[in-house]
Amino acid sequence: MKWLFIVPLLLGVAFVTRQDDEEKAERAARGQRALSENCLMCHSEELIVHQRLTPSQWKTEVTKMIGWGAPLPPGEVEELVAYLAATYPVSRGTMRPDRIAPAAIAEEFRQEAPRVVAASVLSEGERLYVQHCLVCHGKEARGGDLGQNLVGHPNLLNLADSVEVVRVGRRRMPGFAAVLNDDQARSIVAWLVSRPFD
Amino acid sequence: MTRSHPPSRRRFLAATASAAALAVGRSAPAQDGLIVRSRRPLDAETPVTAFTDYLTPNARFFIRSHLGVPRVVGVPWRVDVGGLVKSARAFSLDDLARLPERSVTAVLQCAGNGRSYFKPNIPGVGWERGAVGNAEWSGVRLRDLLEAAGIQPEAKQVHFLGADLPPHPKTPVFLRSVPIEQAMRDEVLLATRMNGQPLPIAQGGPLRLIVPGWCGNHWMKWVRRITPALELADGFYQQTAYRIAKVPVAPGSEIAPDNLDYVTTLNVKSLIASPAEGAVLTVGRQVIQGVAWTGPGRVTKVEVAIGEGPWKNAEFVGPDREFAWRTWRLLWDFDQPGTYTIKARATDSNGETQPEATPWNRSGYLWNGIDHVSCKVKMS
Repeated sequence: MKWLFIVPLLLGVAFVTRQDDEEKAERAARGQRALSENCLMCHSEELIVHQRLTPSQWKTEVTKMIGWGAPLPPGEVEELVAYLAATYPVSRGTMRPDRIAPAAIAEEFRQEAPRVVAASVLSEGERLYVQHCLVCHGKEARGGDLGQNLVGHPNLLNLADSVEVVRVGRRRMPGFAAVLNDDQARSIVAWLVSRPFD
Repeated sequence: MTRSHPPSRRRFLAATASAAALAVGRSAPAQDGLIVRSRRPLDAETPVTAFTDYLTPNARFFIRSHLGVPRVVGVPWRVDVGGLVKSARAFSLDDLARLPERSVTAVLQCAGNGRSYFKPNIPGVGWERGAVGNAEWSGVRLRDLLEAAGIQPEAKQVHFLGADLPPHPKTPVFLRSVPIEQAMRDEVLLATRMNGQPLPIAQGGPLRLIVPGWCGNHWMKWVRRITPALELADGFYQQTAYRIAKVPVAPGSEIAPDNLDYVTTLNVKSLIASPAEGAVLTVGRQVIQGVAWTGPGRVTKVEVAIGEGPWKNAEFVGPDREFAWRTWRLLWDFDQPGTYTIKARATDSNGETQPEATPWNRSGYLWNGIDHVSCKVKMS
Protein backbone atom coordinates (compact mmCIF):
# COMPACT_ATOMS: atom_id res chain seq x y z
CA MET A 1 0.00 0.00 0.00
CA LYS A 2 3.05 2.24 -0.30
CA TRP A 3 1.64 3.86 -3.40
CA LEU A 4 -1.04 5.49 -1.25
CA PHE A 5 1.70 7.66 0.27
CA ILE A 6 3.55 8.23 -2.97
CA VAL A 7 0.63 9.69 -4.93
CA PRO A 8 0.04 12.69 -2.63
CA LEU A 9 3.82 13.24 -2.52
CA LEU A 10 4.04 13.35 -6.32
CA LEU A 11 1.02 15.64 -6.51
CA GLY A 12 2.67 17.90 -3.94
CA VAL A 13 5.93 18.02 -5.91
CA ALA A 14 4.01 18.75 -9.11
CA PHE A 15 2.13 21.58 -7.37
CA VAL A 16 5.29 23.13 -5.96
CA THR A 17 7.05 22.85 -9.35
CA ARG A 18 4.11 24.47 -11.10
CA GLN A 19 4.05 27.23 -8.52
CA ASP A 20 7.82 27.75 -9.00
CA ASP A 21 7.37 27.89 -12.76
CA GLU A 22 4.55 30.40 -12.43
CA GLU A 23 6.58 32.60 -10.11
CA LYS A 24 9.56 32.39 -12.45
CA ALA A 25 7.39 33.34 -15.42
CA GLU A 26 5.90 36.25 -13.47
CA ARG A 27 9.34 37.51 -12.46
CA ALA A 28 10.49 37.27 -16.07
CA ALA A 29 7.41 39.16 -17.24
CA ARG A 30 8.03 41.89 -14.65
CA GLY A 31 11.69 42.11 -15.71
CA GLN A 32 10.71 42.33 -19.35
CA ARG A 33 8.17 45.07 -18.53
CA ALA A 34 10.74 47.04 -16.50
CA LEU A 35 13.13 46.84 -19.45
CA SER A 36 10.47 47.89 -21.94
CA GLU A 37 9.16 50.81 -19.86
CA ASN A 38 12.46 52.23 -18.65
CA CYS A 39 15.07 51.50 -21.31
CA LEU A 40 13.41 51.39 -24.70
CA MET A 41 12.29 55.01 -24.95
CA CYS A 42 15.90 55.98 -25.66
CA HIS A 43 17.30 52.89 -27.41
CA SER A 44 15.98 49.64 -28.81
CA GLU A 45 16.58 46.31 -27.15
CA GLU A 46 19.33 44.87 -29.41
CA LEU A 47 21.84 46.86 -27.40
CA ILE A 48 20.78 44.84 -24.35
CA VAL A 49 19.85 41.41 -25.67
CA HIS A 50 23.04 40.96 -27.68
CA GLN A 51 25.23 41.44 -24.60
CA ARG A 52 26.38 38.64 -22.31
CA LEU A 53 27.49 39.99 -18.94
CA THR A 54 27.99 38.92 -15.34
CA PRO A 55 25.42 39.95 -12.67
CA SER A 56 27.78 42.65 -11.37
CA GLN A 57 28.35 44.00 -14.90
CA TRP A 58 24.57 44.15 -15.46
CA LYS A 59 24.17 45.99 -12.17
CA THR A 60 26.85 48.51 -13.19
CA GLU A 61 25.10 49.09 -16.52
CA VAL A 62 21.65 49.55 -14.95
CA THR A 63 23.10 51.94 -12.33
CA LYS A 64 24.84 53.93 -15.07
CA MET A 65 21.61 54.21 -17.05
CA ILE A 66 19.63 55.36 -14.00
CA GLY A 67 22.28 58.06 -13.59
CA TRP A 68 21.68 59.00 -17.23
CA GLY A 69 17.94 59.39 -16.68
CA ALA A 70 16.32 55.93 -17.00
CA PRO A 71 13.18 56.37 -14.84
CA LEU A 72 13.44 52.91 -13.22
CA PRO A 73 11.83 53.09 -9.76
CA PRO A 74 14.28 52.10 -6.97
CA GLY A 75 12.05 49.16 -5.99
CA GLU A 76 12.45 47.57 -9.45
CA VAL A 77 16.23 47.80 -9.79
CA GLU A 78 17.09 44.45 -8.23
CA GLU A 79 14.43 42.63 -10.20
CA LEU A 80 15.60 44.12 -13.52
CA VAL A 81 19.25 43.28 -12.78
CA ALA A 82 18.26 39.71 -11.83
CA TYR A 83 16.21 39.39 -15.01
CA LEU A 84 19.06 40.63 -17.23
CA ALA A 85 21.63 38.45 -15.46
CA ALA A 86 19.42 35.35 -15.80
CA THR A 87 18.35 36.00 -19.39
CA TYR A 88 21.62 37.28 -20.88
CA PRO A 89 24.37 35.55 -18.88
CA VAL A 90 27.97 35.08 -19.98
CA SER A 91 27.30 31.34 -20.29
CA ARG A 92 24.68 31.77 -23.01
CA GLY A 93 25.59 32.05 -26.70
CA THR A 94 24.86 35.23 -28.61
CA MET A 95 22.08 35.57 -31.14
CA ARG A 96 22.53 36.07 -34.85
CA PRO A 97 22.16 39.79 -35.57
CA ASP A 98 19.68 41.15 -38.11
CA ARG A 99 20.74 42.72 -41.39
CA ILE A 100 19.54 46.03 -42.75
CA ALA A 101 19.57 46.64 -46.51
CA PRO A 102 21.07 49.90 -47.87
CA ALA A 103 17.62 50.88 -49.22
CA ALA A 104 16.10 50.54 -45.74
CA ILE A 105 18.88 52.68 -44.26
CA ALA A 106 18.30 55.35 -46.90
CA GLU A 107 14.59 55.35 -46.06
CA GLU A 108 15.28 55.55 -42.36
CA PHE A 109 17.55 58.59 -42.70
CA ARG A 110 15.38 60.35 -45.30
CA GLN A 111 14.34 63.75 -43.99
CA GLU A 112 12.04 66.22 -45.67
CA ALA A 113 11.76 69.88 -44.82
CA PRO A 114 8.89 70.47 -42.40
CA ARG A 115 5.82 72.19 -43.82
CA VAL A 116 5.45 75.89 -43.19
CA VAL A 117 2.66 76.49 -40.69
CA ALA A 118 0.89 79.66 -39.58
CA ALA A 119 2.15 81.52 -36.50
CA SER A 120 -1.26 81.01 -34.88
CA VAL A 121 -0.80 77.23 -35.14
CA LEU A 122 2.62 77.48 -33.48
CA SER A 123 1.32 79.60 -30.60
CA GLU A 124 -1.60 77.20 -30.10
CA GLY A 125 0.90 74.30 -30.14
CA GLU A 126 3.04 76.02 -27.53
CA ARG A 127 0.04 76.71 -25.31
CA LEU A 128 -1.08 73.07 -25.48
CA TYR A 129 2.50 71.85 -24.89
CA VAL A 130 2.73 73.89 -21.71
CA GLN A 131 -0.66 72.63 -20.56
CA HIS A 132 -0.24 68.90 -21.30
CA CYS A 133 3.37 67.96 -22.06
CA LEU A 134 5.70 70.24 -20.09
CA VAL A 135 5.23 68.38 -16.82
CA CYS A 136 7.13 65.38 -18.26
CA HIS A 137 9.09 66.73 -21.25
CA GLY A 138 10.34 69.83 -19.46
CA LYS A 139 10.71 73.49 -20.24
CA GLU A 140 11.35 74.20 -23.90
CA ALA A 141 10.81 70.45 -24.55
CA ARG A 142 14.42 69.66 -23.58
CA GLY A 143 13.50 66.65 -21.47
CA GLY A 144 12.41 66.09 -17.89
CA ASP A 145 12.51 63.28 -15.35
CA LEU A 146 9.98 61.17 -17.25
CA GLY A 147 9.85 62.52 -20.77
CA GLN A 148 12.69 62.68 -23.24
CA ASN A 149 14.12 65.67 -25.08
CA LEU A 150 12.08 66.49 -28.17
CA VAL A 151 14.13 69.33 -29.68
CA GLY A 152 15.55 68.17 -33.00
CA HIS A 153 13.98 64.74 -32.55
CA PRO A 154 13.90 63.13 -36.01
CA ASN A 155 10.66 61.24 -35.38
CA LEU A 156 8.81 64.58 -35.35
CA LEU A 157 9.24 64.62 -39.14
CA ASN A 158 6.97 61.59 -39.26
CA LEU A 159 3.82 63.61 -38.61
CA ALA A 160 1.40 60.68 -38.68
CA ASP A 161 3.44 58.71 -36.15
CA SER A 162 3.99 61.73 -33.91
CA VAL A 163 0.24 62.44 -33.83
CA GLU A 164 -0.31 58.77 -33.03
CA VAL A 165 2.08 59.03 -30.06
CA VAL A 166 0.19 62.07 -28.74
CA ARG A 167 -3.18 60.32 -29.23
CA VAL A 168 -2.52 56.81 -27.88
CA GLY A 169 0.79 57.17 -26.02
CA ARG A 170 3.86 54.96 -26.18
CA ARG A 171 5.54 52.89 -23.47
CA ARG A 172 5.33 54.99 -20.29
CA MET A 173 3.67 57.91 -22.02
CA PRO A 174 -0.13 57.96 -21.72
CA GLY A 175 -2.39 58.81 -24.67
CA PHE A 176 -4.13 62.19 -24.84
CA ALA A 177 -6.93 61.30 -27.26
CA ALA A 178 -9.51 62.08 -24.60
CA VAL A 179 -8.37 65.70 -24.27
CA LEU A 180 -6.66 66.55 -27.57
CA ASN A 181 -8.04 66.21 -31.08
CA ASP A 182 -5.84 65.51 -34.13
CA ASP A 183 -5.53 69.20 -35.10
CA GLN A 184 -4.36 70.04 -31.61
CA ALA A 185 -1.87 67.15 -31.65
CA ARG A 186 -0.59 68.40 -35.03
CA SER A 187 -0.13 71.93 -33.69
CA ILE A 188 1.94 70.60 -30.76
CA VAL A 189 4.13 68.64 -33.19
CA ALA A 190 4.50 71.73 -35.43
CA TRP A 191 5.64 73.83 -32.46
CA LEU A 192 8.13 71.12 -31.41
CA VAL A 193 9.53 70.98 -34.95
CA SER A 194 10.05 74.76 -34.84
CA ARG A 195 12.26 74.63 -31.72
CA PRO A 196 15.86 75.67 -32.47
CA PHE A 197 18.99 73.66 -31.63
CA ASP A 198 20.13 76.33 -29.15
CA MET B 1 17.97 9.79 -46.94
CA THR B 2 17.32 13.47 -47.54
CA ARG B 3 14.94 14.65 -50.18
CA SER B 4 15.02 18.01 -51.84
CA HIS B 5 11.90 19.85 -52.88
CA PRO B 6 11.23 19.82 -56.60
CA PRO B 7 12.29 23.12 -58.22
CA SER B 8 8.72 24.22 -58.85
CA ARG B 9 7.92 23.95 -55.15
CA ARG B 10 11.07 25.89 -54.23
CA ARG B 11 10.10 28.64 -56.65
CA PHE B 12 6.61 28.67 -55.20
CA LEU B 13 8.01 29.01 -51.67
CA ALA B 14 10.37 31.78 -52.75
CA ALA B 15 7.55 33.61 -54.50
CA THR B 16 5.37 33.27 -51.41
CA ALA B 17 8.13 34.60 -49.21
CA SER B 18 8.64 37.61 -51.51
CA ALA B 19 4.91 38.27 -51.60
CA ALA B 20 4.77 38.07 -47.81
CA ALA B 21 7.66 40.53 -47.54
CA LEU B 22 5.93 42.91 -49.93
CA ALA B 23 2.60 42.47 -48.17
CA VAL B 24 3.99 43.90 -44.96
CA GLY B 25 5.66 46.71 -46.86
CA ARG B 26 9.23 45.65 -46.15
CA SER B 27 11.82 44.24 -48.43
CA ALA B 28 13.46 41.04 -47.24
CA PRO B 29 16.72 41.94 -45.47
CA ALA B 30 19.51 41.71 -48.00
CA GLN B 31 22.31 39.37 -47.04
CA ASP B 32 24.76 42.03 -48.17
CA GLY B 33 23.09 44.56 -45.86
CA LEU B 34 24.77 46.02 -42.81
CA ILE B 35 24.90 43.94 -39.63
CA VAL B 36 22.66 45.54 -37.00
CA ARG B 37 24.11 45.95 -33.50
CA SER B 38 21.47 48.45 -32.33
CA ARG B 39 18.33 49.32 -34.25
CA ARG B 40 17.57 52.67 -32.55
CA PRO B 41 19.79 54.62 -32.57
CA LEU B 42 21.20 52.70 -35.53
CA ASP B 43 24.57 51.07 -34.99
CA ALA B 44 25.43 48.78 -37.89
CA GLU B 45 28.64 47.34 -39.28
CA THR B 46 29.76 46.50 -42.80
CA PRO B 47 30.19 42.83 -43.77
CA VAL B 48 33.95 42.53 -44.31
CA THR B 49 33.40 40.92 -47.70
CA ALA B 50 32.71 44.50 -48.92
CA PHE B 51 36.35 45.37 -48.25
CA THR B 52 37.59 43.91 -51.51
CA ASP B 53 37.16 47.50 -52.82
CA TYR B 54 39.56 50.34 -52.03
CA LEU B 55 36.73 52.79 -51.26
CA THR B 56 33.81 51.70 -49.11
CA PRO B 57 30.55 52.85 -50.76
CA ASN B 58 28.51 55.38 -48.76
CA ALA B 59 25.48 53.09 -48.68
CA ARG B 60 27.50 50.27 -47.13
CA PHE B 61 29.61 52.32 -44.74
CA PHE B 62 29.21 51.39 -41.06
CA ILE B 63 27.00 53.62 -38.91
CA ARG B 64 27.67 54.58 -35.30
CA SER B 65 25.19 56.78 -33.47
CA HIS B 66 25.61 57.80 -29.85
CA LEU B 67 22.44 59.73 -29.23
CA GLY B 68 20.23 59.37 -32.27
CA VAL B 69 20.02 61.29 -35.48
CA PRO B 70 19.14 64.98 -35.25
CA ARG B 71 16.80 66.66 -37.65
CA VAL B 72 19.03 68.42 -40.18
CA VAL B 73 16.76 69.10 -43.14
CA GLY B 74 14.78 72.32 -43.07
CA VAL B 75 17.20 73.77 -40.51
CA PRO B 76 19.40 76.60 -41.80
CA TRP B 77 22.67 74.87 -40.92
CA ARG B 78 25.34 76.91 -39.24
CA VAL B 79 28.40 76.14 -37.22
CA ASP B 80 29.23 78.49 -34.36
CA VAL B 81 32.93 79.15 -33.72
CA GLY B 82 33.43 80.74 -30.30
CA GLY B 83 35.60 80.45 -27.20
CA LEU B 84 39.24 81.54 -27.58
CA VAL B 85 38.82 83.44 -30.86
CA LYS B 86 39.12 87.15 -31.65
CA SER B 87 35.59 87.33 -33.03
CA ALA B 88 33.03 84.59 -32.42
CA ARG B 89 31.08 83.96 -35.59
CA ALA B 90 28.69 81.58 -37.27
CA PHE B 91 29.52 79.97 -40.60
CA SER B 92 26.75 78.85 -42.93
CA LEU B 93 27.30 76.02 -45.41
CA ASP B 94 27.58 78.73 -48.10
CA ASP B 95 30.34 80.44 -46.09
CA LEU B 96 32.19 77.13 -45.92
CA ALA B 97 31.78 76.62 -49.67
CA ARG B 98 33.73 79.87 -50.23
CA LEU B 99 36.81 78.44 -48.46
CA PRO B 100 39.29 76.32 -50.48
CA GLU B 101 38.11 72.73 -50.90
CA ARG B 102 40.35 69.93 -49.69
CA SER B 103 40.06 66.17 -49.94
CA VAL B 104 41.63 63.31 -48.03
CA THR B 105 41.16 59.57 -48.35
CA ALA B 106 41.14 58.15 -44.86
CA VAL B 107 40.10 55.19 -42.76
CA LEU B 108 37.31 55.80 -40.28
CA GLN B 109 37.23 53.15 -37.58
CA CYS B 110 35.13 53.07 -34.42
CA ALA B 111 37.38 52.88 -31.34
CA GLY B 112 35.33 49.86 -30.22
CA ASN B 113 35.63 47.86 -33.47
CA GLY B 114 36.38 44.26 -32.41
CA ARG B 115 35.10 44.76 -28.84
CA SER B 116 33.36 41.37 -28.89
CA TYR B 117 36.72 39.58 -29.21
CA PHE B 118 37.95 40.73 -25.80
CA LYS B 119 37.58 38.18 -22.99
CA PRO B 120 36.13 38.51 -20.39
CA ASN B 121 33.14 40.17 -22.06
CA ILE B 122 32.90 43.95 -21.99
CA PRO B 123 29.66 45.97 -22.01
CA GLY B 124 29.01 48.12 -25.06
CA VAL B 125 28.09 47.77 -28.72
CA GLY B 126 29.24 44.27 -29.69
CA TRP B 127 31.21 45.16 -32.81
CA GLU B 128 33.06 42.36 -34.58
CA ARG B 129 35.18 43.28 -37.63
CA GLY B 130 33.24 45.77 -39.76
CA ALA B 131 32.98 49.07 -37.84
CA VAL B 132 35.54 50.49 -40.26
CA GLY B 133 35.67 51.83 -43.80
CA ASN B 134 37.81 53.86 -46.19
CA ALA B 135 36.39 56.88 -48.00
CA GLU B 136 37.37 60.08 -49.74
CA TRP B 137 36.26 63.00 -47.55
CA SER B 138 36.00 66.53 -48.97
CA GLY B 139 35.35 69.86 -47.36
CA VAL B 140 37.35 72.65 -45.77
CA ARG B 141 40.34 72.61 -43.47
CA LEU B 142 39.41 73.10 -39.83
CA ARG B 143 42.46 75.36 -39.58
CA ASP B 144 41.04 77.72 -42.24
CA LEU B 145 37.86 78.08 -40.19
CA LEU B 146 39.70 78.64 -36.93
CA GLU B 147 42.00 81.22 -38.51
CA ALA B 148 39.06 83.01 -40.12
CA ALA B 149 37.60 83.42 -36.63
CA GLY B 150 40.98 84.52 -35.24
CA ILE B 151 41.96 81.66 -32.95
CA GLN B 152 43.90 82.90 -29.91
CA PRO B 153 47.47 81.58 -29.47
CA GLU B 154 46.78 80.32 -25.93
CA ALA B 155 44.18 77.76 -27.11
CA LYS B 156 45.31 74.22 -26.26
CA GLN B 157 42.21 72.21 -27.19
CA VAL B 158 39.32 72.54 -29.61
CA HIS B 159 35.90 71.34 -28.40
CA PHE B 160 33.29 69.93 -30.78
CA LEU B 161 29.56 69.54 -30.25
CA GLY B 162 27.12 67.96 -32.67
CA ALA B 163 23.40 68.56 -33.11
CA ASP B 164 22.47 65.18 -31.65
CA LEU B 165 21.04 66.25 -28.32
CA PRO B 166 20.78 63.75 -25.46
CA PRO B 167 17.36 62.18 -24.85
CA HIS B 168 17.34 63.19 -21.17
CA PRO B 169 18.77 66.13 -19.20
CA LYS B 170 20.87 63.66 -17.18
CA THR B 171 22.33 61.95 -20.27
CA PRO B 172 25.76 63.40 -21.09
CA VAL B 173 26.16 65.34 -24.31
CA PHE B 174 28.61 63.92 -26.84
CA LEU B 175 31.14 66.70 -26.36
CA ARG B 176 34.72 65.92 -27.39
CA SER B 177 37.98 67.75 -27.81
CA VAL B 178 41.02 67.50 -30.08
CA PRO B 179 44.43 68.92 -29.06
CA ILE B 180 45.31 72.11 -30.93
CA GLU B 181 48.42 70.68 -32.64
CA GLN B 182 46.25 67.95 -34.16
CA ALA B 183 43.33 70.27 -34.96
CA MET B 184 45.60 72.59 -36.99
CA ARG B 185 47.03 69.84 -39.20
CA ASP B 186 46.46 70.03 -42.96
CA GLU B 187 44.50 66.80 -43.23
CA VAL B 188 41.92 67.67 -40.54
CA LEU B 189 38.76 68.69 -42.36
CA LEU B 190 35.16 69.64 -41.87
CA ALA B 191 33.66 67.45 -44.57
CA THR B 192 30.51 68.09 -46.56
CA ARG B 193 31.12 65.36 -49.15
CA MET B 194 31.97 61.67 -48.99
CA ASN B 195 33.18 59.69 -52.01
CA GLY B 196 32.09 62.58 -54.23
CA GLN B 197 28.51 62.68 -52.94
CA PRO B 198 26.89 65.01 -50.40
CA LEU B 199 27.75 63.64 -46.94
CA PRO B 200 24.84 61.35 -45.98
CA ILE B 201 22.88 62.27 -42.85
CA ALA B 202 23.73 58.79 -41.51
CA GLN B 203 27.41 59.76 -41.72
CA GLY B 204 27.01 63.11 -39.99
CA GLY B 205 25.82 65.22 -42.92
CA PRO B 206 25.76 68.05 -43.60
CA LEU B 207 29.01 68.55 -41.65
CA ARG B 208 31.41 66.11 -40.02
CA LEU B 209 34.85 66.48 -38.49
CA ILE B 210 37.50 64.32 -40.19
CA VAL B 211 40.61 63.48 -38.14
CA PRO B 212 42.67 61.13 -40.35
CA GLY B 213 44.73 58.60 -38.41
CA TRP B 214 42.62 59.08 -35.27
CA CYS B 215 39.77 56.90 -33.97
CA GLY B 216 36.15 57.63 -34.85
CA ASN B 217 35.38 59.09 -31.41
CA HIS B 218 37.00 62.30 -32.67
CA TRP B 219 35.11 62.39 -35.98
CA MET B 220 32.19 64.43 -34.62
CA LYS B 221 28.99 64.09 -36.66
CA TRP B 222 26.49 66.90 -37.36
CA VAL B 223 28.98 69.56 -36.13
CA ARG B 224 27.21 72.66 -34.75
CA ARG B 225 29.70 74.19 -32.33
CA ILE B 226 33.49 74.55 -32.38
CA THR B 227 35.15 76.08 -29.32
CA PRO B 228 38.91 76.58 -28.91
CA ALA B 229 39.71 76.39 -25.18
CA LEU B 230 42.49 76.05 -22.64
CA GLU B 231 41.37 72.73 -21.19
CA LEU B 232 39.97 69.38 -22.34
CA ALA B 233 36.21 69.27 -22.82
CA ASP B 234 34.12 68.55 -19.74
CA GLY B 235 31.79 65.61 -19.35
CA PHE B 236 31.63 61.85 -19.56
CA TYR B 237 32.68 61.38 -23.18
CA GLN B 238 35.99 63.24 -22.79
CA GLN B 239 36.79 62.86 -19.09
CA THR B 240 35.71 59.25 -18.43
CA ALA B 241 35.09 57.35 -21.67
CA TYR B 242 37.68 56.51 -24.34
CA ARG B 243 40.46 55.58 -21.97
CA ILE B 244 42.90 52.74 -22.30
CA ALA B 245 45.68 51.43 -20.02
CA LYS B 246 49.17 52.75 -20.78
CA VAL B 247 50.61 49.56 -19.30
CA PRO B 248 48.42 46.48 -19.88
CA VAL B 249 46.51 45.14 -16.87
CA ALA B 250 45.16 41.67 -16.07
CA PRO B 251 41.85 41.04 -17.90
CA GLY B 252 38.88 42.18 -15.84
CA SER B 253 40.94 44.21 -13.35
CA GLU B 254 40.66 47.89 -12.48
CA ILE B 255 43.07 50.36 -14.07
CA ALA B 256 44.80 52.84 -11.74
CA PRO B 257 44.00 56.47 -12.68
CA ASP B 258 47.66 57.27 -13.40
CA ASN B 259 47.79 54.32 -15.80
CA LEU B 260 44.94 55.69 -17.96
CA ASP B 261 45.62 57.17 -21.37
CA TYR B 262 43.32 58.73 -23.97
CA VAL B 263 42.26 56.74 -27.01
CA THR B 264 43.56 58.84 -29.89
CA THR B 265 45.35 57.31 -32.89
CA LEU B 266 44.49 54.11 -34.72
CA ASN B 267 46.79 51.10 -34.37
CA VAL B 268 48.04 48.76 -37.07
CA LYS B 269 45.45 46.28 -38.29
CA SER B 270 44.50 44.08 -41.24
CA LEU B 271 41.31 42.29 -42.28
CA ILE B 272 40.76 39.39 -44.66
CA ALA B 273 37.92 40.39 -47.00
CA SER B 274 38.02 37.26 -49.13
CA PRO B 275 37.56 34.38 -48.69
CA ALA B 276 34.66 34.96 -46.34
CA GLU B 277 34.41 33.17 -43.02
CA GLY B 278 32.99 29.70 -43.74
CA ALA B 279 33.57 29.95 -47.51
CA VAL B 280 33.82 26.78 -49.57
CA LEU B 281 36.68 26.90 -52.10
CA THR B 282 37.98 24.42 -54.62
CA VAL B 283 41.44 22.88 -54.85
CA GLY B 284 43.72 25.00 -57.00
CA ARG B 285 44.74 28.66 -57.15
CA GLN B 286 42.74 31.06 -54.95
CA VAL B 287 43.00 34.78 -54.24
CA ILE B 288 43.30 35.81 -50.61
CA GLN B 289 42.75 39.54 -50.25
CA GLY B 290 41.98 42.24 -47.78
CA VAL B 291 42.91 45.62 -46.38
CA ALA B 292 45.41 46.98 -43.84
CA TRP B 293 45.85 50.34 -42.15
CA THR B 294 47.48 52.14 -39.26
CA GLY B 295 47.37 55.54 -37.57
CA PRO B 296 50.08 58.08 -38.41
CA GLY B 297 52.67 56.25 -40.54
CA ARG B 298 52.38 53.63 -43.23
CA VAL B 299 51.59 49.94 -43.39
CA THR B 300 54.87 48.37 -44.52
CA LYS B 301 54.02 44.66 -44.63
CA VAL B 302 51.07 42.28 -44.62
CA GLU B 303 51.76 38.60 -44.00
CA VAL B 304 49.42 35.69 -44.50
CA ALA B 305 49.64 32.21 -43.00
CA ILE B 306 47.59 29.27 -44.21
CA GLY B 307 46.92 26.39 -41.87
CA GLU B 308 50.11 25.60 -39.98
CA GLY B 309 52.23 27.04 -42.78
CA PRO B 310 54.79 29.87 -42.43
CA TRP B 311 53.95 33.59 -42.74
CA LYS B 312 54.24 34.73 -46.36
CA ASN B 313 54.33 38.32 -47.59
CA ALA B 314 51.19 39.48 -49.39
CA GLU B 315 51.49 41.90 -52.30
CA PHE B 316 50.13 45.45 -52.01
CA VAL B 317 47.72 46.50 -54.73
CA GLY B 318 45.96 49.84 -55.17
CA PRO B 319 46.99 53.32 -54.01
CA ASP B 320 49.51 54.07 -51.26
CA ARG B 321 48.33 57.14 -49.32
CA GLU B 322 48.90 58.07 -45.71
CA PHE B 323 45.70 57.71 -43.61
CA ALA B 324 43.97 55.50 -46.22
CA TRP B 325 44.07 51.73 -46.08
CA ARG B 326 46.08 49.55 -48.43
CA THR B 327 44.52 46.72 -50.32
CA TRP B 328 46.60 43.55 -50.50
CA ARG B 329 46.39 40.06 -51.96
CA LEU B 330 48.12 36.71 -52.03
CA LEU B 331 47.64 34.00 -54.63
CA TRP B 332 47.68 30.59 -52.99
CA ASP B 333 47.55 27.10 -54.47
CA PHE B 334 45.48 24.77 -52.31
CA ASP B 335 46.81 21.26 -53.13
CA GLN B 336 44.66 19.26 -50.76
CA PRO B 337 40.99 19.39 -49.73
CA GLY B 338 40.40 20.12 -46.07
CA THR B 339 39.53 22.81 -43.55
CA TYR B 340 41.98 25.69 -43.38
CA THR B 341 42.47 28.67 -41.11
CA ILE B 342 43.83 31.69 -42.95
CA LYS B 343 45.52 34.36 -40.85
CA ALA B 344 46.70 37.88 -41.68
CA ARG B 345 48.85 40.34 -39.77
CA ALA B 346 50.15 43.78 -40.69
CA THR B 347 53.26 45.71 -39.65
CA ASP B 348 53.64 49.50 -39.83
CA SER B 349 56.45 52.04 -40.22
CA ASN B 350 56.47 52.52 -36.43
CA GLY B 351 57.63 48.89 -36.13
CA GLU B 352 54.32 47.72 -34.65
CA THR B 353 52.91 44.32 -35.67
CA GLN B 354 49.45 42.98 -34.90
CA PRO B 355 49.55 40.74 -31.81
CA GLU B 356 47.70 37.43 -31.39
CA ALA B 357 45.32 39.26 -29.07
CA THR B 358 45.15 42.91 -28.03
CA PRO B 359 45.74 43.49 -24.30
CA TRP B 360 42.40 43.63 -22.47
CA ASN B 361 41.10 47.10 -21.59
CA ARG B 362 37.99 47.95 -19.60
CA SER B 363 35.93 49.36 -22.48
CA GLY B 364 37.12 47.16 -25.32
CA TYR B 365 38.92 49.70 -27.50
CA LEU B 366 41.39 49.29 -30.35
CA TRP B 367 41.20 45.53 -30.90
CA ASN B 368 43.86 44.62 -33.47
CA GLY B 369 44.46 40.92 -32.90
CA ILE B 370 45.65 38.89 -35.91
CA ASP B 371 42.68 38.43 -38.25
CA HIS B 372 41.62 34.94 -39.25
CA VAL B 373 38.95 33.14 -41.24
CA SER B 374 38.17 29.48 -41.56
CA CYS B 375 37.24 27.96 -44.90
CA LYS B 376 36.73 24.57 -46.53
CA VAL B 377 38.57 23.45 -49.63
CA LYS B 378 36.95 20.75 -51.77
CA MET B 379 37.93 18.88 -54.90
CA SER B 380 36.73 20.75 -57.98
